[in-house]
Amino acid sequence: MKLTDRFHIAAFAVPALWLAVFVLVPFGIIAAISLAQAVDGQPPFQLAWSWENYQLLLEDVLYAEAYGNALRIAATSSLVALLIGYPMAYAISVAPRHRRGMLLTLVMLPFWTSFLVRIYAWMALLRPTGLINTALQGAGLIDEPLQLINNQFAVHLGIVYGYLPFMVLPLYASLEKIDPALTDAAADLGAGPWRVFWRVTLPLSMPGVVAGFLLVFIPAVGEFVIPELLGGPDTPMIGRVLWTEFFSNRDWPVAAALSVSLSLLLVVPVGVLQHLLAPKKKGGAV
Amino acid sequence: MTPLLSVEGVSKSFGGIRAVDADDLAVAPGELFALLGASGSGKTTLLRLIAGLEQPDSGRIRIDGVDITERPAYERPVNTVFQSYALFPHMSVCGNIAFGLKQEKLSQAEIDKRVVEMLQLVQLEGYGARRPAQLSGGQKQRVAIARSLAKRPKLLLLDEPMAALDRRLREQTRIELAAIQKRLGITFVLVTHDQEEAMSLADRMAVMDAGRIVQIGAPREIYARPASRFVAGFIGDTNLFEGKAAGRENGYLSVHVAEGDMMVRDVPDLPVGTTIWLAIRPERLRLGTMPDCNCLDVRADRIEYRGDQSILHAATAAGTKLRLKGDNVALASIEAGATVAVAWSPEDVVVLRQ
Repeated sequence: MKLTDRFHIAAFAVPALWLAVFVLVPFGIIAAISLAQAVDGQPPFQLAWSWENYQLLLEDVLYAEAYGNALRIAATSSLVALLIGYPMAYAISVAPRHRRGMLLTLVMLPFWTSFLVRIYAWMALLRPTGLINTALQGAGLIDEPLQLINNQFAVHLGIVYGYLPFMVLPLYASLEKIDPALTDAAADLGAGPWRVFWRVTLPLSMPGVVAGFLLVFIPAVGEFVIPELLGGPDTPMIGRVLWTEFFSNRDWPVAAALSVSLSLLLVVPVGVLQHLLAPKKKGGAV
Repeated sequence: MTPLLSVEGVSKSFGGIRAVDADDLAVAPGELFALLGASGSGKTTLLRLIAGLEQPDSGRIRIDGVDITERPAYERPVNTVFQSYALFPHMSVCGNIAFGLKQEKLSQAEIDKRVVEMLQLVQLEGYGARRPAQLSGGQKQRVAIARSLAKRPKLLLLDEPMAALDRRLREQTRIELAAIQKRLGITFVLVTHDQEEAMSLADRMAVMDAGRIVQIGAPREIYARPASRFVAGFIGDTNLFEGKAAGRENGYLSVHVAEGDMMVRDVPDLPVGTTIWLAIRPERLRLGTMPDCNCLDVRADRIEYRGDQSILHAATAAGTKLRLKGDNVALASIEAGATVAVAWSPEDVVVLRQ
């Protein structure tokens, strides 16, 4: 065996092993627990191989509602992040080369502070006695504090804020790869700036749009911290429900069933989407 | 006659560095005009200024007498073949060719008709549904040409269109390109660093150096009568002697060079005592001596075999390097180190003042 072959196998084996130990095995354990029965004891379940827990998920409307809320809020937040992130990524991609590194660092700068600390900072800004309400009241613009926190608005805000860099980076990567000669050629052939964008820049940046959208959407669906700290009681999201089942109700099997179904709910549509968007081998239509 | 394209005093700087410097240019309708220069000479920038992809700092650009300096690229009756071809990777060949037509208010039937016409013109019938990634370099180039000609521009700009092709294909493409140009009667402005390409294709050409046009003329004219040492050295190969105009007799000028006195055709308005350079093409040097010629004994350094011809590299007693291009058989007998007599006619010397 040649040295390079061995290297290739090692390079492939390390991440494969990592995934097996830290993803597949835990997922197997969770899947097993999801088929177990809750009992009072240590551990709080007894292996049973029953679909009872999944039946409960289908019967109790609370879970469907929580899934629906999570998917809806994640989708709208991802869309808002896309609408904000695209112009940012575009601006960075057309900035002078020597300035792009600095701009990308600024995009990633929030990561230097803990996510939790930043969400607490938003609480300080948004709460009725927070900076924004105090300032608006001080300026005489409002009499009563605005309800800015513990509602869906705050959850959207938190997700868009927290995940925006994950939208900007893949968008930038795909926009930066577009040969400037292509947009020159489109303009040369008579397309104005908007047509150049719709017909050339946007279609060629679609891989970045899809990647960015998924990178925001997938973690946002299962998000726990943001709805917990910024959300209200009226719109439970699946991440919070899961946490409650696990820690408050100590119903591990139901929590595990929720977790498994959430994974499947995300993996299946994403897999289909990626299959549809994969580059085609055969030539397409005109 | 109004020139189809006229460039008047156009300048462009990038970050304080002059790329194009106050250039003037007039291209006649139907002409195949070449902009020839080394990389960094400003020829591509000049092309982009004409296309509207860059805005000049000063000067005017007119097409058919109409000032288009302020018009954006998408409103100019000019199309470009880019060096990288810049085909849209997410569109088929037909989609690429139709792109420019879709920007005009044309019916779908008219667009389809023109796309078919263009595919025939570049001999790519049957390739319409392919993606650019499925084409060879030569096919990509032909799609790029078809795409830019589909809108029937008044002026077609070509930025190093052959640079990405291999030598054989380049020569074949050259012939096809010239044929298309003559058939359609569209004015072409071609940017190239390849002097052979410029000379074989162009009706006229402009030689550029450091952002300036240093000479404009027919290829023959520029080769026979270069205006400066730069042009003489850039277009073809040349031997140079530096000297001073010494005196005149019978329509000839005597020039004092390190190797002695040389006779050249008299140049009017050249004061005696001026420093000048004498340029002689290597193919104009002959072996042996001749009457009424400039003769010189030189030391042969080596013979370079070029296939169809050979080149004798030699040096004069004063150290000037000379190259003589000639017949393989005649040069084969010369040994390195030997002293050889070379001669050239005063008529073959070009007097350069700069």
